[in-house]
Amino acid sequence: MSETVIVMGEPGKRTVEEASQWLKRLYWVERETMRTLGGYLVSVSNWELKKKIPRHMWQDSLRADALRTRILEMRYPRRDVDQGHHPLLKSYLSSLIKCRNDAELVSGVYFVTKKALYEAYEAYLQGADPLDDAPTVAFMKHFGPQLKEQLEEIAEIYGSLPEKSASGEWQSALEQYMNAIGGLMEATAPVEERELLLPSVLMRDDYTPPLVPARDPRFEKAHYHMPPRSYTKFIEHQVWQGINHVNEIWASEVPGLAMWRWNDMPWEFYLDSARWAYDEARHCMMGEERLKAWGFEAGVDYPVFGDHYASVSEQGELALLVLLHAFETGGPKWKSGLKQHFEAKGDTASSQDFDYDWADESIHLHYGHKWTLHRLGGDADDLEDYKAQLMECWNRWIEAANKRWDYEPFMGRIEHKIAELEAGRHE
Amino acid sequence: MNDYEIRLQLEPVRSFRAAAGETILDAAIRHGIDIAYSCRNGTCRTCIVQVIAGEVAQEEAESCMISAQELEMGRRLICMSTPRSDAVLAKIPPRQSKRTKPDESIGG
Repeated sequence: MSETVIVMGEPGKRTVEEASQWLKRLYWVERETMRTLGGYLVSVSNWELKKKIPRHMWQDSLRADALRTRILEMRYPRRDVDQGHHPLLKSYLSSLIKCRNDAELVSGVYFVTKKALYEAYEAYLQGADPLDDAPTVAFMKHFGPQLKEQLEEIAEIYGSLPEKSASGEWQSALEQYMNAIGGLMEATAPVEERELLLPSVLMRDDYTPPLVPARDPRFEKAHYHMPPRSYTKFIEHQVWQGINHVNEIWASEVPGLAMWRWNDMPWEFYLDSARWAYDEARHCMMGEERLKAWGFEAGVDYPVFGDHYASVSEQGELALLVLLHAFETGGPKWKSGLKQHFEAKGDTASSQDFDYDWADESIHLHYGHKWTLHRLGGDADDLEDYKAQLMECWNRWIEAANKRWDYEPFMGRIEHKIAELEAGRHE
Repeated sequence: MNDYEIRLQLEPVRSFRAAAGETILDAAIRHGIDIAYSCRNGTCRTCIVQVIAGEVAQEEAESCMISAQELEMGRRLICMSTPRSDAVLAKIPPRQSKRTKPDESIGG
């Protein structure tokens, strides 16, 4: 006689092992789409897209971190969570950065990959036991709405991209590839069991980041960003600092590039870099918001140019990160002084921005010291020497650039707008 | 409760008193001294100094961004340091660069 078994409630649908494997796959997709966005950020030319991506990278990093933390709670070995991903999945994800323009980046990362991620989260939640797997459900139920918002924000920008009509072939090829690897919801079959006949459009050369960051083609040509003379009155100081803030976008591009170039760092590096990139994009938007309120248009009335980046980019991404860290080392004294000065003058919009920027720089100094030192093998003296060496490079670069260009037509436009503001003619 | 005389050999040189258990940065701020600082958690390294004389304890050193070697050399992050005696603190002098390592390449 067979034994009687009482079947209580819902039958079991997913083991811990199955759940952890699925979450590991989704974690890796989040990590790699974030790294793709980081690496390509310096090549993105559309200004709205350039400012939007870092926020998405930060959100991606937080989703990835929640997944990674949860995987490790599910009897999953720490040494394995960042390893052993299927070669086909890795190959698919590494092809995303071979896009050739903003529209292809958006179509590959968002319209194919993030859309699939959205569907995968919905499917995971449908099959998840709300009690047994409650810790996963608690955070994952917020992922769908967040991805939906990302997709909607990007779709709006995509509509204005000039290359959008030519991105269809790239998107179709990636959709085909995604189908061939079995999508994101199931474990991919071993590579030798599949015959992948991928479209030739995917067989492109490896991505090479530019030495001078791309800027919006609608912007006037510039060769450096700060006015070449000191401000002579407070209203000029306000405008100069606004221009400086907008051009902090280079500081978003640097950690983005580093997270893509270095694929062998501890997970915390990617988490920190995504936050760093987002903070710097926020600082850029702080300046743009103030200048816009005063009647200045980015790239038209004042320059947007990645001069800091261009000054050392030939030396590589470590040089870029060390230069950024060197600039931020002097930041707290400078930004706290600006906060006090602008507050005393009654410009509380600027002083509040400097206050939050100063707070952000505290954590960036932590990141900068920790990760540049990591790359330099823990040699603190070498880091100090490198910072000094790169600051010298920058000083030489900007001195030469100041001699080559007189900052026109921007200086004329800035002075004209300031005169209008002083005459009370600004609306 | 004891308090201690702290002499900051920055520019300009300033002296002030810090209570036992009070961080040197908090004491400096309390006395209205203009000094570079940021995180107040021992992580950004903006306030790093060299102890020239006296005893200064690095509190919660394990969570601060300061190496054992730096502590050994008498360096302290004053946002997380408390005096154990009168003390003289100075800015860390710039190094003579000995950099010889090759750079990583962006295109490589």
